[in-house]
Amino acid sequence: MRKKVLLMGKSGSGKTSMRAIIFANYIPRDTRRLGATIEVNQTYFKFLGNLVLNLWDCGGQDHFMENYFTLQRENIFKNVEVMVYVFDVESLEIDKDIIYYQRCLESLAQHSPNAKIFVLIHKMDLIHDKYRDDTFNKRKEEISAFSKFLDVKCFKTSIWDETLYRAWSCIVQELVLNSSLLENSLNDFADVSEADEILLFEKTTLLIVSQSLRKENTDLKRFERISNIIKQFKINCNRFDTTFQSIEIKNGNLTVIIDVFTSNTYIMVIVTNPNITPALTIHNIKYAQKHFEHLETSQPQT
Amino acid sequence: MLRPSALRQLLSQGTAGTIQATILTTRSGEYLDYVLRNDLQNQSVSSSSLNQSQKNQINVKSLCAIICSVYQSYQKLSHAFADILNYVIIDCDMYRLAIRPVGNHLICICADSNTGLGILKLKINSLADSLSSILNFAIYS
Repeated sequence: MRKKVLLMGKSGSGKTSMRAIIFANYIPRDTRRLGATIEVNQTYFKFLGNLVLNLWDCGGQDHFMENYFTLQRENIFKNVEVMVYVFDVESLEIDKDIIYYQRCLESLAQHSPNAKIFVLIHKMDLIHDKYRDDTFNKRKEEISAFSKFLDVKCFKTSIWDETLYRAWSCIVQELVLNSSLLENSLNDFADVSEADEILLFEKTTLLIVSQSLRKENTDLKRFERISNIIKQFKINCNRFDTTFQSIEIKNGNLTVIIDVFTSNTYIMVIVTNPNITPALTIHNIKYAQKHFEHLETSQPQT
Repeated sequence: MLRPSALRQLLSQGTAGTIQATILTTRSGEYLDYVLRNDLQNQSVSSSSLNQSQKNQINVKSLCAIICSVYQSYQKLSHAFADILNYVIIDCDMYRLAIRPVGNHLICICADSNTGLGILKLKINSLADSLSSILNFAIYS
């Protein structure tokens, strides 16, 4: 099952860096050596069993952009499942950015009317902390004004913190085939094992694919933070020629177990009940593995 | 799968009379869950007297490690004689222990030294039977 994801935006907005960090295990510092993308860079990424993400990283130079809207219009904008448009928050040519964005929307409406659209206001780390929310809201309003009648989701992102993971987790969750079935199964699993939260991560990107929450938690940014932390840990393990397998943390307040789950996912189980031993939770995880592996491999082919 | 609250309820059913503790553990000595008779008795007691009972409590972690090691030793011995070990009953100074495998786990009942061996055997077998359908399913599926 192939799904086409368009990554568009002006030149230098951060598309290729984003792609490198999420899908190619780059650390933010390493993205400095990435050069300008020439034309379209197509990559295939196997995601969760039989889902293949066909990522089209489109170079943002003016010359290429003109080409996309004219000669290559049908080729680029046909059969698109998701379009991710990246705005550089520090761009001095906001009007020009908006014009390109509108042209993308028009082309998309013509060739892939059912495509989902995500807008990332990128490089937010360059804005001072106290102005960040205001700047983001202002931009979001501007963009919403130009995307009337379309369901566009906006995120503020930066490669230097966990916000990038939040945006891409949402993007990827739109593409997962049987997400509701997966979530229901996770809810059942959380119920029986009496866990407070269960998160399912994709193995390579560490993006959150599904979750089950039984208890309220006030920290809304915890998901992407966890993705970021574990990914960094995994990259560091690889550097020392070892592979990350599992983490088990138990203290007075909670037990956290992160372990390999199916062939494409990691699971994170959080239990706050002090009477439930890690061994019991691990037993339950091993038991549930078979069911979820079966869910993954038996996805409907459409 | 084992629902923690249900498992605890099952184990506490056996922990009555002269039975001091019922423990479900892995073959490698890590306990999945346990119920101590002191815990059941002291559920509604104030914190000061709780400290006293804590001192008299069985150290479950050490006990698990020891019983698993002991069981494995006897199992190796039984293999040497081409025999299958079903359960082990150990008569010690302070306690009597019964250990029985269920699937990939072990159940242990720890009772006072004046407990009848017959009741011990009955309890461990009935507990194993209750858990076997759940735990054995995990191996074969």
